[in-house]
Amino acid sequence: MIDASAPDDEIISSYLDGEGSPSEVARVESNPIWMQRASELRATAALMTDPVPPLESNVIDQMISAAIGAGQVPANVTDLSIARRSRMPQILTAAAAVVILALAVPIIRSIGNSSGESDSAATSFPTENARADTATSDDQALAESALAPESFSPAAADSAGSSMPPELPPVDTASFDPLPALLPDAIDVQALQEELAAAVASDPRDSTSSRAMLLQPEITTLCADALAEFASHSALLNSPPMPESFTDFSLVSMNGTTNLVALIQLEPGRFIALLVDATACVSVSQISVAP
Amino acid sequence: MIYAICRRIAGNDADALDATQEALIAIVKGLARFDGRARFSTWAYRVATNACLDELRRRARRPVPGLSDDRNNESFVASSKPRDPAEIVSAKVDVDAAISQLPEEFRVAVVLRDLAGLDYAEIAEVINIAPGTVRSRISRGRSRLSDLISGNHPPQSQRQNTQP
Repeated sequence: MIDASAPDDEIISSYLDGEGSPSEVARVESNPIWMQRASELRATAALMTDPVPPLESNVIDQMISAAIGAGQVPANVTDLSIARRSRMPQILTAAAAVVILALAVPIIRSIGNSSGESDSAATSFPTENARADTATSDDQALAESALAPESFSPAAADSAGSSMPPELPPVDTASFDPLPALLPDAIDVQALQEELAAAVASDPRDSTSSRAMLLQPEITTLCADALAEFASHSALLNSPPMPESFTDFSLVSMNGTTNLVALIQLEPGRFIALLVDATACVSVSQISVAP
Repeated sequence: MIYAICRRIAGNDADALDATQEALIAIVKGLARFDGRARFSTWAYRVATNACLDELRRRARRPVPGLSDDRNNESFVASSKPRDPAEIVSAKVDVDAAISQLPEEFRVAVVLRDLAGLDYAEIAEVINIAPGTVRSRISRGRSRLSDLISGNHPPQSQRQNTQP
């Protein structure tokens, strides 16, 4: 039996928060001493809502920019090496993940729909044709031409897979656009993931694996090479991107399969996103992104 | 709100700014892991709270900002020692200094409740404890805060609290 003169702060506190049981509410409200204590605790709680000195808008902008910048993997191959050594899943910047997932859905669906056509063009994809495809800046055309991950030919893989470009000019990372500028408004990430998982389940890797370049099944090491190789043979590109242009990576689990996604900035405002079956290092798809 | 939470938890501008920056970075990096099961704000508060606490723990060797040792046992009311709740509210109170005297687990619970407005279930999710523990921590935090602000430091036995 609790002495009415000794208020129970826990009951009173939960009463103030609307979290007390009916009996607790009745108990507090029937006792003037407890109600007095409730007033004291209410006043204390109210102090917490005293406005915090606001930050200036430029400070807020700087902090947000810094956060976005810190969320991106610096664009150089060193990060890939670190990742290979650590063998830990890459932490994707959210922006890149959202962009890539958003882009991957229609791509995978398109692969599924056009797998028969793609098969016929799988083993080789003439560079001239590819560049002709890229002559247009129309996004849809770019996206369609991007459905040629099979643009890797075995010959190309043999000739280029064993070596990286020996010297690469520096990339001005300061010229990179902030990723959030690419983000569509109000993307439902979960819905996208589910949609993507369903799309993956419906087809595509089985149909693409036979015509995509299959590298050695060593995920972390070889997928980086696969990406570089993939990019260097991209049918979308007028000039191959440098490995330093890789701006974001992540391992994303989709339908039980680990997929590597990468976002490559070709030039300010122009990206390509790659989707690679990380289990087998099979390139699945790519797309050009022009925000 | 992220800054306000960090400000209350940290107790001073400098640490709050650093903690807020860390929190924002953590949110950006963790966005891909947001699965939509919780409200975004709840998720963001959890990330921010953890980032703030991590940042503050990294600075654990530093003295409590804005609070010199000789104030530790004093009232945080600048004037007299008001007992009337209205006086407490209207008095010039160094809220941050008082809050900084709360144990971390009480401080976080109180801030998330009274500043962020989360309910007990949400707070439980944010700091990964049972709702009953949230209730206890908030109660004990408020009790101690009330005593600190009023300049009253009663022995624990003088006032009940369901959980020790």
